[in-house]
This record gives sequence, C-alpha cells and structure tokens, in this order.
Amino acid sequence: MECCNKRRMMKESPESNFMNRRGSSCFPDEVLERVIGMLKSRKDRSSVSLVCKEWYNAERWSRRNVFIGNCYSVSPEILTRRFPNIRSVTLKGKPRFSDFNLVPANWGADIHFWLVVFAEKYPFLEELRLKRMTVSDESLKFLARSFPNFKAISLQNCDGFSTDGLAAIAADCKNLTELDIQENVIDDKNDNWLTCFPESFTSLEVLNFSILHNDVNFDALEKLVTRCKSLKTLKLNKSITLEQLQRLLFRAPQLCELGTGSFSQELTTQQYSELESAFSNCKNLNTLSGLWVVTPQYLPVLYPACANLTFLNFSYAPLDSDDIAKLLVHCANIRRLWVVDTIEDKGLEAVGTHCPLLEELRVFPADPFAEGDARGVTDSGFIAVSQGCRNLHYVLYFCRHMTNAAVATVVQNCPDFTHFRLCIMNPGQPDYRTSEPMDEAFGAVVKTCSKLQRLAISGLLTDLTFEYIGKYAKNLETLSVAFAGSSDWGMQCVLEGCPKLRKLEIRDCPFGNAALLSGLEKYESMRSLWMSDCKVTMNGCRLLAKEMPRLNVEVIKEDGSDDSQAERVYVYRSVAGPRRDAPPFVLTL
Amino acid sequence: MTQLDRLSVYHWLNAWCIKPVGGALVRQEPEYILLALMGSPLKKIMLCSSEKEIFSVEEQVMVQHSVIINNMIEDGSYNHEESKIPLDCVDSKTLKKVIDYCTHHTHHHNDNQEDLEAWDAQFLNVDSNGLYDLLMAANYLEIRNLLDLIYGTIKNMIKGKKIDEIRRIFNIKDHGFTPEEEEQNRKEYPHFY
Repeated sequence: MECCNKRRMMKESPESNFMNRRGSSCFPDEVLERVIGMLKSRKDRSSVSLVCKEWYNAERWSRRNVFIGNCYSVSPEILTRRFPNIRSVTLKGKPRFSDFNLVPANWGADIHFWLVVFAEKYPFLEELRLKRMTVSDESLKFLARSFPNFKAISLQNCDGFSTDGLAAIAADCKNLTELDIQENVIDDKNDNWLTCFPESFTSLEVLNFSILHNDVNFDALEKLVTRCKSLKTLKLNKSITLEQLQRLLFRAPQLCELGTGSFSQELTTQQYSELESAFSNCKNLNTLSGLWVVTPQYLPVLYPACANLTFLNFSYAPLDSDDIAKLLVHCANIRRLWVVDTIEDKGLEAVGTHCPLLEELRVFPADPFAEGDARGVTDSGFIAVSQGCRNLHYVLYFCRHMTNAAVATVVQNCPDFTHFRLCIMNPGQPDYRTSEPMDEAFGAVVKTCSKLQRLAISGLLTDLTFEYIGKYAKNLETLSVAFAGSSDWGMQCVLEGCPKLRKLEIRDCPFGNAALLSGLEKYESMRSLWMSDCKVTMNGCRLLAKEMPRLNVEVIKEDGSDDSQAERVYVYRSVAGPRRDAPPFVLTL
Repeated sequence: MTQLDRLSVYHWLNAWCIKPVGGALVRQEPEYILLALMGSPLKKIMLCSSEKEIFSVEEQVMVQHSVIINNMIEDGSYNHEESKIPLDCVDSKTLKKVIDYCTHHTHHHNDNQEDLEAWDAQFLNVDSNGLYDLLMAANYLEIRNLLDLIYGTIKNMIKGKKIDEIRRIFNIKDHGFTPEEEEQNRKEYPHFY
C-alpha cells in the first residue's frame, strides 16, 4: 500500500528530522504555513521572516495584514512583490510633529499611487487604515470603484478630501462594514453624502463622522441606522440634537460605542424621560464619547448606561469637578478616561476614588495658550489619581507646572507605566516648589518603570535627564523632546543607551551635528528621527547622508532662512530610495 | 454472528458504557463486556510500522481520529481477517505514541478540559526529534486534533524567542540568506537577535 508517495509534502527523506544534515528547516510547506498562520502579532511575523529564507518565503505568502509605519520607507511595488496576498493595509504618513504645524502643507504622503498599485496587485483588498496621509476625493472614488470586496476604511488625521469622497464610498462599496473618519481636515460640502448609501445596504458596523461640522441629513441617517442591524459603533457630530439622539438610540439599542454629538438642547420632561429610557436600553454600551457641548443638568440620563462603560472619552466636554464626580460614581468599571482639565484637581480626586480599575488617563488642556491665573490640573491631582488607580499604565497629562517629588510619588504608586507623557505647557518650566530642573522627575520615571515604551518629557531639563534615559530606559521605543537639554551629550546618551529606540522627535533643543552624527549606526534600526529648530547644519546632514546611503536625509527649507542651517530635518530608513514625489521645499541630501 | 452484527453491537455497547448510569459514569472497557456476552474478540485492526512491527488497536479508536484509516475502513480496502495497514513512514516508537494518543482521547473524551490538557502536555514532553516524528505521523494519518496540538507547541517554540535561539531549537544551520542580507537584517532589527 502506498504511503509517503501519496502525500505532497515531503521535501526531505522520511528518516530526516530536526537534526538535518543539510541544516535547513525541514518542515513540509503546509506545516510551516499552518504554524506561521497561527502567529498574529507583527513582532512574531517579523521574527519568523528573519530565521531563514524558507520561513521568510512561507511567511510572506501567508501574510494578510501589513502595517507600514512610514509610507516612504517602502514603495508599493516592493511591498506587493514581497507580500502577494494582503487583505488589510495600515499606512502612516507625515511625521507626528505635523500635528503641531511643523510640516508645511503639500509635503506629501499621498495615498493615490499606492491605490493604483493595489488595484492591480491586491484586487481583493478589504481594509485600509490611514494616519496622517493626504487623501483626495479622486482617490476615494478610485478606491470605491477598484475593490469589490472592500469592507473597512479608517482615516485619522488625514487631509485633502471632502464629503464628496465619502459619498463615493457610500454609493459604491457594497460590502462596507466600517467608515471611520477621525480628526481629519475635511471639506464639509453638503449634507447629502449619507443619502448615497443604497436602500439595500445593511452591512455597516462602524460609522464615525463626529468631525464633520455641518448638518447631516437626519432622515437618511435614521433610515441607515434602522436597517443596519449589526451597527456596533456610532459616533455622531455636533449637529445631532438630544431629541435626534434619542430616536437613533431607540433604533439601535445594540450599540457598543456611542459618540453623542452635542449634548445640549432644551428638553421637555417627556423628552428627558424618553432619553433616559433610551440609554437604559443600551445594555451593551462600553464606550461613550462626544458631548461636544454639554448641558450638565442632563448628564444624569447617562447614569443607567455607565455601569458597563470601560472607555469614557470626554476630551471635548468641558465639565467641572462636580459634574464629573457625580458621573464617575456610576462608572466603577472604567479602564480608559480622557478628560479636559476643567475638572481640576478635585475632579481627579474623584477619579482616584471611584475608578480603581483605571489603566489609562489623558487630561487635555481647555486653553493651552491661556496666560495669568489659568487653572487646570496640578501635581496634587496627579498624585490623587495614582493613589486610587494602581493599575495605571498610560498617562498623558497637560499641566502648567509640576514638581519632581510628585512625579516620583506617582511612579512609586504606579510602577507599571508603559506610556508616560507629561506636558508642562510653559517651556523650560522648573519644579515650582524647589526651582530646580525637572531631571529627577524623569529620572524617577525611567528608574522605576522598567516596561516604559513611550516617553514625552517637558519642563526645565538638563543633560542629566538624557543620561538617566540612556542608562535606564531599556525598553523605550518612542521619545518626544521639546525645549530641553544642555548640549550634544544629551542626545548622544539616548542614541547610545536605548537599544529599542524606534522613533525620536526633537524640537527646539541645543543639539547639533555632533549629536546627529553620534547616531550613525543607530538610525538604521529606527523608524525615524525628527529634529526641528535645533543646531544642526546642512553640512552635518550632508555628512550623515554620505555615510549612510540606506537612510533618507531630508531637510525642509523655509523661504528666507539661513542657507547653512537645517531647521527641519527628517531622517528615516528606506528600501525605496529617495522620494520621487518630494516638493521643492524638501531637499533630499 | 456476522462481522456487521458484531460491529453494531460493539457501537451500541460503546455508547452505553460511556454514558452516565444512575448518576455515575460507567467505565467498563467494551471488550470485556462483549467478551462476557459474546465470547468473541472486539474489532481490532492491525497497523504495521516501518520496522515491520505489528500493533493491534481497536478499530473504533483509529477510525475516530485518523481520516486516512477511516477512509480505508469505509471504502472496504481493509479486510479484517487478513490485512494489516503498512505505515512505512512511521517507526514503532512513534506509532505506539500515536496509538496511545488516540486511545486515550477516545476513552477519556468525557474528562474535564483541564485533565485532558494536562495529559496532552505530558504526552508532548518529548525531544524535538520525537516531536517531528509525531508531526509527520499525524500529518500523514490526518489526525486533526493531534496536529493542532503539535502546531500549537511549535508555535510556542517560536513565539517571543530571539532569532539565534529559534535557529538553535530547530537546528537551522544554514539560514539561506546572503551574507549581505543577514548583515542588513541584523542592523535593522538588532534586538530580535
């Protein structure tokens, strides 16, 4: 009876095993593909592809999702050649400091030529997730026409499109499950894009249009929500009134994530009780956001829905400490909380008291440029949260001043921080009690929090902070620095000391060519380096470019600036070579 | 009693003896019941290893687990009175272990999840050669649950490990990259190594 001959697999003889004489991996193809298919994380997939050529090939054929952290690090041709079977693409474009207007308009990161290649090589593409990319209406129309299986589009911090593009997606993507538009610069032309979803269309699960400022066609929205029975996420914009919200909730009690639109309207007693009842019926709500304009006396309608909430995003809701305290009493299960600093320290005390399971806190400034006696949150609020919320591992905290002692106490209470972003809004602000630099604060963070992956530093800082970071932050991947340091030595400490560093973004620091060039070997293992308004010169950049041909060294030139200075430098590794689409103000050295 | 009758009685008895009876699980080995009632041996099949050693095993057990053997029995190509199934790819040591696995999972399929997982863990406590042989055998015989178990074990041997260590575990001496490629990989992903 035939045995091994019937099976397709064996490349090696039956007697071979792991102790193979030729030394190459001797798994049959389907075994290798199967095992690799079980590995989902990006890190594991990268790992597998580095082990040997055979595993590299098995991995590339089985890869379905690809994440590209810098759209210029690879070209669509190279990508599609390596990974023939991709269904989902995530792409990030501009450097993060473009959020602070440090990158001029028309810099690049246009999605269009990617889509053209994908239309040919990935006709079965299902998902596209973009961050800080330029997306035109033409691109959205092209996308809607080119991919019959297209399911999910998510655009975050993108620019260049209007509601016309959304209309094209609505009209032509028959299998759409997700339309998620966040924080984008979008031209809101009309309210009719929602009417473009056909009557027969019912597959939507995620709809987020919270960033649009104009009215939408409510009738079309209500009909859409009614017929999409699988809708789980609905994030409305400011134009939706409380009465309209109630009608939508009545149609979709199955929602898990809700963005409320504004939360402000004159309600009759009847309307109030209907709204309260609508929220009571939403048994699956775990995420609440919105409240763009809030009438605090209506907040109690939310209370029945609060018990199961795990994520509360009030980053646009200027509540005061009393309002938030009364609400948080009902929110014992909160894991993630985003608030505005109008809640002040007293509000943060309420957080510490009522939300023991909290893992992530982000406190945004109501008015970052306010002068004089602006309130907000301080060191005591920070300590109060850390005392009550011992599971805290992610913090983004905007404040006007801080003390070294407070930060040391906070990390003592919560040593498991993975993300620590402290933004003292006045540049160069020292410890307000001792007038010393804030070096010891960040020293405490890196010494205590061994799992730290992301750090943003601020306040008056000397090279000592960077010495601490280089010495202790062995898991650090992302570092953001502004208005800090004393000399090149600071940047050198970080480049030489942090083995896992991937992204370094620096502005307004006294780091020059010596610092830049100390990272020669390092930059190839990093995604990117950004330096703006430092002391780097064109000659320094040219030297870097010459020594490291596999890096793209780009300088953004402003009109009328000194020719020898390199005000904005962006350095990143790339297998695609220099950019083919660079505008005139971007010089590739 | 004909072969067919024996088979149907066997199946009925097997079903009976693993159901709870009066609140307790009755764990009688089917062959003893049958022997007691009929005085004839239970349906067994013969598997022959690459070393020409014969293993007798309950047909029921192998049919439940191995798609290949199930197909052979169903399409009638296996004659109980005369045949043995030659498995030239599988040595005696491995075949015995495969039979062990299938037998245990047939007779203990009502055990709780934790106990079964613990048994599986100690079953797979073998060196990498043994694991490879089991994988090949399970793949050939198409024993789905054993395959999934081994895939999961191999996955755990890879997950979270450094490249140099993975190469050592799987004895990959020649990675197949050019020296330039290997050097570039080490530069771009230094902490993977």
